[in-house]
Amino acid sequence: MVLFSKFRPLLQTVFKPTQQIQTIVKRWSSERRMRMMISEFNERKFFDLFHYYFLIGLVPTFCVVFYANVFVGQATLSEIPEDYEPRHWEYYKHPLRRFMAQYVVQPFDERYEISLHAIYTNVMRDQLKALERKVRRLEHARGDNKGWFYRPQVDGLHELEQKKAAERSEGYSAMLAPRELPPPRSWPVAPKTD
Amino acid sequence: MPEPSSLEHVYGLNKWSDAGYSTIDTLYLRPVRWFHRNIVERLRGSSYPYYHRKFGPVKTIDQCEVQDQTCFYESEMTYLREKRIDTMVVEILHDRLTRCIAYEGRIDALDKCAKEKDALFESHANWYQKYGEMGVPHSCVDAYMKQKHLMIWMRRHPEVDLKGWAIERDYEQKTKDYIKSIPMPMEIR
Repeated sequence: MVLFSKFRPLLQTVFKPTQQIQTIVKRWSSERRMRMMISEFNERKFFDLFHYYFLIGLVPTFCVVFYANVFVGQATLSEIPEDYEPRHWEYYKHPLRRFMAQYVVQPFDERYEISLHAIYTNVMRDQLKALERKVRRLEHARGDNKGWFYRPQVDGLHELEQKKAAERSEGYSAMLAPRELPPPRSWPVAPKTD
Repeated sequence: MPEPSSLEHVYGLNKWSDAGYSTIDTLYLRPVRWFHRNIVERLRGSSYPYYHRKFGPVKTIDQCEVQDQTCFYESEMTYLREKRIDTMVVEILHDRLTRCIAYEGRIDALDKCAKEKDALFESHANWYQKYGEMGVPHSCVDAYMKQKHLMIWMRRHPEVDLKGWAIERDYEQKTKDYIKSIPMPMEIR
């Protein structure tokens, strides 16, 4: 591939354009002669990119993979010894895979536990939100709590109306007692309580 | 189909296979073996182990409390793992039958591959009974309900044969009868 540049003089001999042919022109020599040559830009660009990706990309990668496969070797399957918990990268066979599991990738068990934690926190959050909604609903309905939005105004008639509405919603009955019993007489004499 | 044949090449059966094997031998197998013996085995470091993952016991769906989302998640993951393992098992048995048929030939396989065929049939039927016909997607709750409904149905219909061996044997016999009924010279059959 490095010999491609040796082929350029051949282009001159093979391709001899005459006066009628229109080509991209570039000055080539110091003779009193105008040599018409094809552009070199595409060639140089291609070789530049090829060398770049090959030397910086493929060669180091190949060396690393060669070393890992030939000199380090893959792991051998064995039973987990007693009282030993293997680290999370010791569950993989290929050395490069082990490296990725050790330094690059999130562990398998960690992912599982994170999902469980996320579920737990979301459940707790939902329960708290439901509780807040319930509290606000009851405060609005009953209007009896001194919340931050509540102006304390005692309204006996309003409370009476609430009570009567509850009784009415339960239904009318002939067995109901009158609204209020009269108060016990205090004059002239209070009744005897025996 | 007995044990699989060894990887050694037997010289002398066929000169073309001998020639091909000799080419591959000198161009690839000998250099690779030389490299492995003289360089890799001398320079390789000590061997190190790797283990298979063990998943601890976890509550199944029927043991979970009501509204216990973490328990649901764990039982779902266990269910999915079991499903993948069972799928691999069925796949391996299918592969064995395919190799048996390729080894024996399509006609002889009817007699000689009966064990592999029965193993595949049984495993496939069990897989379908456990994981099939629930729709995609489905959850472990759907699988549990399916099991429950099946047990109830089996209790109410004890006379029904759910395995289907009779149908399978009948089909095999019909296939053999059909093949016998084709008029062919005895040397080929």
